[in-house]
Amino acid sequence: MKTARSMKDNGLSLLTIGKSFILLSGCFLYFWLWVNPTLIFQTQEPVFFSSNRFLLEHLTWPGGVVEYLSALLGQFYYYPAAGALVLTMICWKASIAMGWLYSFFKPVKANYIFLVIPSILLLGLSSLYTYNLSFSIGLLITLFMFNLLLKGAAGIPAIRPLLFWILAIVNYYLAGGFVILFILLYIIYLLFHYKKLFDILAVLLVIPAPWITAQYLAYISLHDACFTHLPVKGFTVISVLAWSLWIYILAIMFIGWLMQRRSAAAAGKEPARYLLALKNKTLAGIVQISILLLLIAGVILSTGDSLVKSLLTTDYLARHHQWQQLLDYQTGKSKSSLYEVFETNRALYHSGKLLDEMFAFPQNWGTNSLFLTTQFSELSLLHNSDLDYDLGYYNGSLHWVYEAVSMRGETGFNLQRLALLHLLKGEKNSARRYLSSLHNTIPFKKWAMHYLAIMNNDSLLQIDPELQDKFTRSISQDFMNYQSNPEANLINILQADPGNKMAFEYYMAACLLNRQWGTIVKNIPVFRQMGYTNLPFHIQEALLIYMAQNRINTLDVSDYSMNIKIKTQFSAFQQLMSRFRNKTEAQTSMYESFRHTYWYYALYPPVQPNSAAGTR
Amino acid sequence: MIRTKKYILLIALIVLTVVCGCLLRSGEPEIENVADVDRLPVLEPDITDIVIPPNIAPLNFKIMDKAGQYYVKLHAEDGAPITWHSRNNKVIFPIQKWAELLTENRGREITIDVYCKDENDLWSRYKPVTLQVAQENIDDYLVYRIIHPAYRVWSNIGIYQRNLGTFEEKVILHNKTLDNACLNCHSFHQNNPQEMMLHLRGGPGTALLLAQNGVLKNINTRTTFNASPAAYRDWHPNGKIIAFSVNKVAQFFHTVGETRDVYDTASDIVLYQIESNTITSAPQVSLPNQMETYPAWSPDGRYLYFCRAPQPVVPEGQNFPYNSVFYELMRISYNADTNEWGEPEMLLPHAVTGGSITHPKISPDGRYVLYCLCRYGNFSIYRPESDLYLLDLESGENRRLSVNSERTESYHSWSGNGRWIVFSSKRQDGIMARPFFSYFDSDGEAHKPFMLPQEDPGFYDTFLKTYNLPEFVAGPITATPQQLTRLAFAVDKVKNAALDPRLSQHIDTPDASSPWQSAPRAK
Repeated sequence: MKTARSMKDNGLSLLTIGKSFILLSGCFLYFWLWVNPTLIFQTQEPVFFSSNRFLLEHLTWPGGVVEYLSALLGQFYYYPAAGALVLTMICWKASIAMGWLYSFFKPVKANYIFLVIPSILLLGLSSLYTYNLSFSIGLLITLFMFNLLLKGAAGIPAIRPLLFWILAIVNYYLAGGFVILFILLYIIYLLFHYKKLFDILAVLLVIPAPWITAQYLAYISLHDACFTHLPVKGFTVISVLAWSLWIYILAIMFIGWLMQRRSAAAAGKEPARYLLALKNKTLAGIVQISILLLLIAGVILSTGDSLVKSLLTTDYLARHHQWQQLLDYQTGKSKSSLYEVFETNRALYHSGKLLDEMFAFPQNWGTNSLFLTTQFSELSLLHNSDLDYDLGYYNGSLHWVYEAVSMRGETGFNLQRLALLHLLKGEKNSARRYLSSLHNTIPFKKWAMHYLAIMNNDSLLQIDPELQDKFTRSISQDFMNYQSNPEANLINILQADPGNKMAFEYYMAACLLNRQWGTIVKNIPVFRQMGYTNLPFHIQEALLIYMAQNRINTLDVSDYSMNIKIKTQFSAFQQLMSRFRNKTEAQTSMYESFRHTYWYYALYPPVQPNSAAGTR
Repeated sequence: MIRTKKYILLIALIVLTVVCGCLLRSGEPEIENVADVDRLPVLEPDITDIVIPPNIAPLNFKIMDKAGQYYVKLHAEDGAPITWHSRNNKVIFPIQKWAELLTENRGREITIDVYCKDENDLWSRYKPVTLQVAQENIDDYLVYRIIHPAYRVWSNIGIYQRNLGTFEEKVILHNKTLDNACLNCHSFHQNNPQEMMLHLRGGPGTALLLAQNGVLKNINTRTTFNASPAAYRDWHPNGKIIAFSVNKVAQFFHTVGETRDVYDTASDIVLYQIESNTITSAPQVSLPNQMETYPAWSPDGRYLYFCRAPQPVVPEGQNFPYNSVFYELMRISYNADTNEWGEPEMLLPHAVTGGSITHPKISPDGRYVLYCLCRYGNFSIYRPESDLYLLDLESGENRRLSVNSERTESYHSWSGNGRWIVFSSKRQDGIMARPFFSYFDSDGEAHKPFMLPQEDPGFYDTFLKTYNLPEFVAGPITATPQQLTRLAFAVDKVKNAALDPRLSQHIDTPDASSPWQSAPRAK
């Protein structure tokens, strides 16, 4: 009874709880099933170690605590349901915190909708794969601290300036730049409440805190000392939503206290007032729900990015070696981003279909999407390492993953790769170091324990599913690596390890993409040496082009027989082509009939984009 | 009321638990019927049979022999013994008691007795580990750079000073406040913390930051003579000149063994004269057909030691013959008062060493040259076979030191009294360099080295960065990171070094391109 009354006092009711439950359930399902926190993990790879050193490091600068907490909670993104729960709880806590603040407007009461708007904005922010949790946690801490201040100020008004000063400093230490919000909230509070010189002094004494910190207390730039955890760089969806959230909170506090003052002035004449009151309850309910739904829809629509999600899903499937799912996911697309095509080609190789089906998928990036080495961005580094790892070129893979560590930090995926590479190179002390670090993480602990347990037992390592076929692939012959010429590296790898099927297939794929049919013809005997029972489809298609171009009727194909169906199709291709004056006129018809053949690619090679536009 | 009682009871229980825990922990275990084990305990880091400075921080360690309980006693002829026991294998000595024990036993041995209790509650005692405490102190501070193993891009680079008597580590400068610039080649005039220089690349700009007796300067050492900025360096003993090499560096990658490799396609030696802000050189140390690098002054300032290799002529379209470039040890006389050079003398030719010499460092008494020898080239930190060698300038004896391991030993520095050397070694895993210290006795023998001690003996197990360029300094560096950051950003106050007018002839101009880059979007 007492609880119910206190709930009612706080503006809560069973209806409110019911609405909250429905909203939170919807929020959880949205995060879990639509946003998929695993993809956020895939993008951000939050680094967290459960070690004292990691904790202590984060205690040395303002905002470090929030960074630590967001890194910790970010680990749960690895598990979709747990990640969704974390994000939902944050949205829920935001509405709770707003409830606390609204309770200070008494007798003015706030409509439920005002309570949940911050949560909706946070929902939108959290849907963005690059959004960092530290903003949400900083906001919650600040709202909590401000609530403490108001409670303290209400209890013993005399200590208010001192309490403000202490809490502001604590807030700054915990949440960095969020102290600005804390100060602004306090200034609004002072506008409507009795203030003394000490209140103003207390504010003035907090303002130089970032400068003092940067100069004397912590080794941090002045910019970071002022704006840690605030989205101050650039005009993005994240910054718009984040600053909207700040403005909303500040505005609602201003309006709340303004109405409270007016209510006090009219004391005894009017009943308790609502922010944006509507006398008709049914109408009010309809308006509330409509506004809520509109807001939610608006936020979700403004934050959804199907291109990014497609890229991240592909990336996720590749990272977890779900090759068939990846191919299914990419099937039917006419164009894909560079990274998606890169991963599709890897999936095709691992499914044994690269030279048979690669042109059934978009190849709109030419050889750039086979190697990515022309890209030197934060995003391409681990992908480059993946490819070299698959190729058995472990030094190359090591090179790229160390670059990835330099640019993205000691992330779980980077450390996993380093541990495996050093195991493959027989450098067990190095491997142990990375495994020991991974042992201090949450998502990779079990994985690390497995390898720590077997790393000294070579026979167990040799039969480990991840490593078993990798030990046989190491390159024993040294050569200078050419980053600018990956095809030359493939030739070198093949010279050092002639049985390297992946290197050969990628070399042939590069020849197909570069339309080097003569080189393909020269390498036909290698297919025989590699044990291919039939020539892959796209190779046969290329041979037919070569023969047509050079007006050759027969070709030595090392006792392979050409597929009759392909020959027939090529005749149809040539006949269709002959119906048009030029290839431009023929393109639409060709696309309809032959877009999944190599002939179409060879006839209409993609115009190479100037940059990685359209990539992540 | 009931609630208050509950709280009191709860608090009493917590206090009781803490007190009991403390009492149990502080009590000495009863060690009876001890069985002797006829071997040394396995300790990590290995501190058996080493000579240690009397002013070094506690050499905490892990006991790698599996046991249910451990007991360790550290004792010596004088001073109160230190005991420690736990179920945890990490032995952490109290810093104050450790320091007292070492101070009281300077020049004598201290002994570590290790006892282990097995699952049958039986204690065993290993052969005692002895540490010889040297008479001579080690320098109070060590300065080093910490960085992830770098390939093409860098991020997160910091130069730190570590108090060797404690575990206190402070940042001198970190690139997080420098727009992700690269910091390197910190150097001190005769181990004096008040006279420091370091290089800055990228970020606010390429510059040499010089802090000398409270005066901070930001200098651009590029001139028309040297398009590349100053690189490897050494201070003249008079503190008025710094010798530099200017190098054109290329990096490439191997497919087998150590991935990274670096070679110079050109290099010269120049002198930076601090007072006149002038770059000068001489034909003898900047020959167009030779690559001169790694300058090092003799303690009397009369000789400049350096490494030199013939500059290969590479026909177009061919690879640089990186593995047939061998640097030899040279020296040249120099008069700092008149800026006059003598003629280069060959000290150690390739025919004698069979390899390539890098990083010559002259001992403070001027008698020894400590250097690295690797199979080829001049980037020893990437050469697994790189070892430390010692040339006795008095006797001419040249030998490999016993401190080497099967993996890279590279950059090294002498303590101010010449009794300690510190060097980078990748002996742990071949990837991460760690600073190792060795006592260098009056007979020229370097004793078994030990690793830079850490409070947590498991620190290195999960530390994923590498230590570069360990340099001794006699005390703390007083220039603050904030001061140095402001200096770095004071681009308008950068002083361009003037070129010595006598150097009218442009001898060799390596360009300024660098194979290393700042990480564009580092976290």
